[in-house]
Amino acid sequence: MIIKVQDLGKEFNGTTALDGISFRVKTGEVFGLLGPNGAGKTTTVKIMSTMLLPDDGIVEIGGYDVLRRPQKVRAMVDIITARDKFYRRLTAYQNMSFFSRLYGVESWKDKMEDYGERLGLEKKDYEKRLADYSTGMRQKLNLVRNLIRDTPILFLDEPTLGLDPVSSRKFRSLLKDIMDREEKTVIFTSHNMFEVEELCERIAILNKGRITSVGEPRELKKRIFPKRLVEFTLAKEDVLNLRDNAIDHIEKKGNKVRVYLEDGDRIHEVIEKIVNNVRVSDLSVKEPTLEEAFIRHTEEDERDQEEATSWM
Amino acid sequence: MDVKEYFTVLWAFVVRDWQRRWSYKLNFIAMLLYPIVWVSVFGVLGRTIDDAGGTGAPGGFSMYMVTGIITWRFIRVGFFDSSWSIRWEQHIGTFKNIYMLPNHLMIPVSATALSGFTVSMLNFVEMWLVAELVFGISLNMTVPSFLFLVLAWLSVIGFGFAIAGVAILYKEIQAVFTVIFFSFQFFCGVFFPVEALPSAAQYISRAIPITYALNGIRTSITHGYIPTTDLIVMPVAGLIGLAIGLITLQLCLKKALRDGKLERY
Repeated sequence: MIIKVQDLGKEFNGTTALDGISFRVKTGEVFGLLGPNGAGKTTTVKIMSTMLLPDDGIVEIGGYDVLRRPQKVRAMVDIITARDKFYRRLTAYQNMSFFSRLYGVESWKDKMEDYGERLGLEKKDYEKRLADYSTGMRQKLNLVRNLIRDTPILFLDEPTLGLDPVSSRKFRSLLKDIMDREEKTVIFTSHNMFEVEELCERIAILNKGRITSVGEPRELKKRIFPKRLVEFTLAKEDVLNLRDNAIDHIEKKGNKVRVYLEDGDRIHEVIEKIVNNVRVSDLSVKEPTLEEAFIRHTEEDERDQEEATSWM
Repeated sequence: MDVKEYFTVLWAFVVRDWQRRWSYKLNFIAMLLYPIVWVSVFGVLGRTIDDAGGTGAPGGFSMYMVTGIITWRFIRVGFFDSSWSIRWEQHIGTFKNIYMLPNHLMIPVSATALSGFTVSMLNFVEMWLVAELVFGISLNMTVPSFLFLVLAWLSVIGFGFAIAGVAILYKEIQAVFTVIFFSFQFFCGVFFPVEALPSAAQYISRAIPITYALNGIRTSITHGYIPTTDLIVMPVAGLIGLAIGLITLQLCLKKALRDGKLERY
């Protein structure tokens, strides 16, 4: 395990930001921290990258304790956020020359041009001042800066925040490409379920400073939201009279019908009953999105917490 | 980090700062002209007083004024660059990328101070040339007197580090220190002798190392030697200042790490 987080706790002025979270990440794994705003994602990343001291718990990065060997940890990790900045008055070349000297990287120019080309930056862009860069271009250059530094662990803290949907999709595609090639261990934080589902191999769902679930995206969806959904269009003159204990509930809007199944494993039996019972068209089976699972999970978690506190 | 790497990093900061200065062309020209205007104004003022009978200052009052202004400018740039270093990176949002290096935070702070030193040197040469060529004030700057000037610069760097640390936690604090530092012009004998101050104020003057720096520089230029008191006070004050600066920076850094105020993103 390259990252170990054990019983991590942090408070800010009496408010609990992290309430004893634990997780482990394997070398080369892309691990997602998913949660709403204020869940504790950025606080976790800041502690793991030695930018914040924890109140409780142990964090080890590459075998080094973040409290005892912060410099060793910093040599192994880098963070990319949407808020990262460059020197606006300097050109991309000048910026990268400065940071490369700091990182002790030689032949940075070749690397910059090579990585930049893969990310869709052109040589003429490097002569421009950063003040003339769009948010998307700046974020690409930010990724180039990290690739030049080449740390084995990368923290991506909501890197697409502020990007438009098209740039965001391009950026994710670039990340995916790089993650496939570079063998980096990545911690990806986001409140965007789609991003996390697309990029991460495993996910921890954070809510109010606690990890409420950890697992692969598919497994999490099944665990949190086991319902599956059968959608179809009913012939006008037919009346649906469907009963099965695998069915959770049925929604009807005109002749459009949605059948929610409590037991997804019996889906074939239910479909058979439907097609034998009525005339249908446009029949399709849908899985819940991670977003649906996430919303339901956080709602349930908050309800559980409220019930627990109402007894106190 | 070995010595070569350390100097490579320091050099990177110096190059970056000069590139940044050059990117603001008018500011760059102003940076070159400002000390010339400054030394000219005080040179003329000193000469006017000398023409009116003088003050009895060795070498004339114009010499007194010019050496005061050159030394003050030298010290002031060092102090402000080191104290502003971290706050500036935080302000523009590049601090995280510098902090994430496996190096001590002293590197960017000392590198910015070194970058400021190059500006001090340039301004020093300009002012010296104007004093010599325009006002005919012969500043007999020997190697020991120049080294003493560098020592004076070093003596305030430590206090700059301390303020750099405090500014991580309290962003407004730098304005307070700026006022305090500028009040030193009044107490330390930049424009007039300390003896001209009320006796109570003279106690404050003697507690500020810059007073000894100015006295040492003036004496070395006019009499060719540096008074023993100044020679002792300056390194001691510099070491104490550096110790205070490093301890304060370390304590403030730890508090910022605990409170989550290091990057503020």
